[in-house]
Amino acid sequence: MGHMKIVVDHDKIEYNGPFDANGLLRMISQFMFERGFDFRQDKDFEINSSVGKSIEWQVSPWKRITDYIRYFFKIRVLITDLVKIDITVGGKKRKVDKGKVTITMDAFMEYDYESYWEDRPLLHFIRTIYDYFVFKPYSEKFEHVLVHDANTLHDNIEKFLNMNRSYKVISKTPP
Amino acid sequence: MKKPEDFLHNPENATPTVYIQYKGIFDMQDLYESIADFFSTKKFKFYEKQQRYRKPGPFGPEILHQFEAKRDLDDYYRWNVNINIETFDMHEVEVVGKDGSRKKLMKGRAWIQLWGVAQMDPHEAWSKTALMMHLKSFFNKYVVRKKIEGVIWDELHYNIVLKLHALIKERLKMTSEVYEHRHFSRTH
Repeated sequence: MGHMKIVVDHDKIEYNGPFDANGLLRMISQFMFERGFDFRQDKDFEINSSVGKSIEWQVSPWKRITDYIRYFFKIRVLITDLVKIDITVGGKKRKVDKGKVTITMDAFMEYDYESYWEDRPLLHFIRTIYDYFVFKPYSEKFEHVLVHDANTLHDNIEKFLNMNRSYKVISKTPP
Repeated sequence: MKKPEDFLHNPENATPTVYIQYKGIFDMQDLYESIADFFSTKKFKFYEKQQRYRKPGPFGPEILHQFEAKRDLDDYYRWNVNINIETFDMHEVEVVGKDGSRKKLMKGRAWIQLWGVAQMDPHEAWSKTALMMHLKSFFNKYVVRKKIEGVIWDELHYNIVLKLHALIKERLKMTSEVYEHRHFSRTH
C-alpha cells in the first residue's frame, strides 16, 4: 500500500429529527456515482429493536486520478432510534423516518496505490523526494478538488436534512 | 526454483467483500430462492458447498450456508461468486400481513458475506509448460490488463456482486436498500 494522506479528517454532521433514511443513503451513493467514484460497501448493518432501528452504513468509494494518485472517501452513517412517524405535507398525510443521525466523513489521497515505488529503500526515497518537491503543485491541485468534493457532499447532506432552514443573526447589523 | 506464483501476474482479481448484518424478521426461504434465481438468470452454475447446523444454546441454532456460483465467460475468463450466510438465534414467528393473511417467518440475526473473483485461465490451458506460464503472465500484465480491470472485474463488481447485495437487502426489506446500478438497463 502506498502513502495515504488524510485530506479531510472526521468531518461530522449530527442531526436529530424527521428525515428520509433511504433517500439520504441514496443521495450519498448517487453523489459518488455522479462524480465517477467506484463504489465499495464496507458495512451495512441493521438491527430492529423495540425502540426502533439502528443502522450502520459505511462506504469507501475511490477514484483513480492518475496512475499514481487516487482519491478515497470513507463515509460512515450511523442512525439510531429510527422510527416511522406520520406528518402532514400540503394537507396530505405521509410517513417519514425519525431518528438520530451521525455522519462522519474522511477523505484521503493515496499516493502510489499500486506500490510500484516500494520495492527498495532507494525507490522509496526517490518517491518521497518526488512527492515533496517535484509533484507538489499537482498534488495540491488534486487536494483542492477532493476538498471541494467533500464540501459539496457535506453541503448536500445539510440541504437534504434541511439543517439550514432557520438562521439566527449573531452579529450586529451594519448601519 | 521459482514457483509460478512468483512471476505470474494477475491470475485472479477479487472484488472487495461486502457485508450485511441484519437482526429482525425475514423470510429465509424467499431469500434463498431469490439468490438461486438471481444466479440462474445470470447464467451461473450454483453450488451449495456447505450447510452447518449447530445448537450451542437455548436461544436457537446457528446455521451456516455456504454457496458458490461459477460462470465461464469464455475459455479464458471465469467469474466465481462466494456467499456465506450465517444465522443465529433463529426461531419461527407467525406474522400478519397487510391483507390480514397469516404467515410463518424467521426471527433472528443474519450475517452475510459475499465477494467475487475474476479468474484467468481457469482450465489451466496455459499452465502446461514454463514458457506458456510466462506467456500467460505477459498476456495478463500487458495485453489484457485493461480488459481485466475495466470490463471483466468491473462487470463482476457492479453487475453481479453489488446487484446481488442490493437484491438481498431488498428481500430483507432493509432501510438502506439503495444501489444506483440496481435497475440500470444494460446492453450486455
